[in-house]
Amino acid sequence: MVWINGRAVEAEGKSLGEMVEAVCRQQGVNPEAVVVLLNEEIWSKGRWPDRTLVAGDVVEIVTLMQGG
Amino acid sequence: MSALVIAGQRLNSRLLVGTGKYRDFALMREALEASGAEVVTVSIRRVEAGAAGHQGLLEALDWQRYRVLPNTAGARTAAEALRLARLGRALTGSDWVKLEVIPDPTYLLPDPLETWRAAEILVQEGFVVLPYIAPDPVLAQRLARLGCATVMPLAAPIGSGQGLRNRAMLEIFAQQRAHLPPIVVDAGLRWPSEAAGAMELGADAVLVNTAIAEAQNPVAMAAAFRLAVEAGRRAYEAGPMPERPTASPSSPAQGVPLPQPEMPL
Repeated sequence: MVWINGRAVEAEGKSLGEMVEAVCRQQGVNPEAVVVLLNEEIWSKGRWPDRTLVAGDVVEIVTLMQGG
Repeated sequence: MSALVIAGQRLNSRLLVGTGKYRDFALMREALEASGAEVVTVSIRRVEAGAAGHQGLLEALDWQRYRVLPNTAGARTAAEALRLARLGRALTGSDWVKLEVIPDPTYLLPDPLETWRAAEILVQEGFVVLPYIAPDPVLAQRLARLGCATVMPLAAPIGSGQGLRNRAMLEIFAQQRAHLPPIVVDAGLRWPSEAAGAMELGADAVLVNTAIAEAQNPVAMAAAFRLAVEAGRRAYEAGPMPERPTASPSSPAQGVPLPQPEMPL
């Protein structure tokens, strides 16, 4: 299993970039407006590594939200 | 009115505003415009289903016009705050961070030790750190010595609308201003008069979110806060009259054209 935004997902073997773009598309967020944290390493907007997800990977896809 | 300078950046508005709790982006945009603010806070969250407020925030505001201030809201420890601060920098390209380390869900009071620990590392990493703190002047001085760009003491718990509950401590901040970076009173205000009060006692700026976003007319309230902050600052710069224990007549005491007791009638 791969952990994506705190949830276990069967995503082994999938491309990180395609997974990020799929999540963004699903939530209506511009992929250029997100940053990815892959196993605690930060990858800036649109520049995530060309990498295949493996079991145990922890991926956080984050963006700016309203806040005080 | 003099300009506010934070980390070498000159700001004409002494009102900083949050972007949270608005009904929609259109209302938020209009309220921000009416506030005259140049610095606006945002949070960092996962892209996930059911989370309101993240679709298009980047596109919703003109970032040429506003300086974005990502916060670390949600962090309960220094380590969590560092993670959020670094994500905020990657998202915004800005080194500015509003440091919030809050373990207490009831009063949202910040943890002073974890805040200090996080600030120390963030300053070393080149962040411009604006820490949210309880109104503790000793902590403020410790954070100033680390190189924090401001100190942000709370007036009352976040979103409570209780006003300047910590006035006495904020007065001590103002007395010690020579040893502190800009003092930004943050959180808990309800009325613009409270913002004016904070400015009159010597705060350099005020940060407001809920008092505007949850007002019945947020745009009008944003304008009211803008005027109040400016009025308070102008009053502070003008300097008040001395206080006296008794009355002092405004009209001359002599020459009143009325019969005096000793005069023949």
